[in-house]
Amino acid sequence: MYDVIVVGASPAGIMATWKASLSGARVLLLDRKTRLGVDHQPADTTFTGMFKRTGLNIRDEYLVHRVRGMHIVSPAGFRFAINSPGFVVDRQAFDLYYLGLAHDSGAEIKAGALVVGLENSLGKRRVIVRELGEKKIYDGKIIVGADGIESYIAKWAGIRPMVHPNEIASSVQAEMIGVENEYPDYFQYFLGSQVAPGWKATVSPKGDSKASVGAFVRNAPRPAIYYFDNFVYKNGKEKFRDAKILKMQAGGDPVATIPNQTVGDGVMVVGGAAGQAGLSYGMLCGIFCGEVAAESIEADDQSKPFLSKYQQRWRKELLTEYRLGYYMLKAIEKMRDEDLDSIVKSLQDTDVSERIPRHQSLFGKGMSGALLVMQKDPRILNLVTRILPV
Amino acid sequence: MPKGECMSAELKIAVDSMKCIPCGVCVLICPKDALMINERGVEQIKGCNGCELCVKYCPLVAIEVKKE
Repeated sequence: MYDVIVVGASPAGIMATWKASLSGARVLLLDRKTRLGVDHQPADTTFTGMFKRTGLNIRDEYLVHRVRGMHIVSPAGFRFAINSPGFVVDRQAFDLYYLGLAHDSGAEIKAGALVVGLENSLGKRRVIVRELGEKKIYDGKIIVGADGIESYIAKWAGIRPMVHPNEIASSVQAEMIGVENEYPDYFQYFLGSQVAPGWKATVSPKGDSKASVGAFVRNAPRPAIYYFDNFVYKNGKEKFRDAKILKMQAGGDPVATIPNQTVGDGVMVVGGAAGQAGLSYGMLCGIFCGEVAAESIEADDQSKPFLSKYQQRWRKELLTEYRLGYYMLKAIEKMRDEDLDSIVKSLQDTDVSERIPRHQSLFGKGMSGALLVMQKDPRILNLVTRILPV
Repeated sequence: MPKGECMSAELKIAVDSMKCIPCGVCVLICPKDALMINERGVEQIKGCNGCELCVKYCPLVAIEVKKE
């Protein structure tokens, strides 16, 4: 009998495992992949300010490249910079580093273990697992579903973890080498209905001529791979002329799905499974989840009301930002390419970062940026009233 | 099969295993919970209602819905 069984060795799952185990709980971490750390989802960039909120330090073991901030690029090519330091990680090294910490804290880790069922009986939960072809059964007091956006732990537990699952962004991302990048110190976000309807195409420098290049689309008329191909082979002829793809990835990014219900009796969901978008934010939620799991074991209470402490903690810390993110993306979705051009153009000669408080979160920065735009170009007020989501 | 589900037109969700990662978007978006990821990739585990949301959301064009 385990205290906590975590399903899915995502960064959020690993954090939950590590934190619960550090506090003395007996934790088992299961992952369906036979090789941990590989074939992960594409998230490999984050902002330093966001990451610091986890209380963790950035480690050389996985750090690939640092950037000074981001460039927002409009459809016609106007751009402005927001200086907010960020970094790119080697996700395999990243996952393995934190798995190492989880292991050292005493957690048991099993790879190649596919959970095929969840059962509930008085005071304990049971997961049915196919482990390298064999059927195994593990009992636990708490099950943590960190099994990605497709979470079956949530489905089996009757939890609806996302407010707007249909707002999921489909993405195709590739690690490329030989990229001619004029701005090696910035993440670049390209907006526009032709480039990436509903969200963005990205170039994230990884040092030398390497970069992660991706297309992230929402409610788009065509699949993400179409916009990726367009971005790399048509629009980006110069930048990608000599570039080669080292690795292709695809996925769903819950950037605008807004996390909803994340607990049930003896069950918590975390990370992508809970619609908690973003590498750093997923990890922070994983930390909250692991802490509450440990408290629940200590108090010998695995009821939904007790585990709701986890829900309260992440909501207090992050829900406003997730909501703002949703509204921002709904607004971008309604903007015409000309609108995006005029907004970005009005900002391009301003040092936006000077005018935006440093301590703010990314979305806070976005809101300050929006206010700044309105000061500079009052016509944009009309636009804002038109695109505000209802 | 539960009451109310349509038996007449059996729809098969065909996943191209050469293209599929599997990323899980189709599993999330399926209103019937008809798809699941196992050791071999995405597999159909229940009847499909033919809404084709999985086809629309798949980033890599790896899914087709076919009439059996």
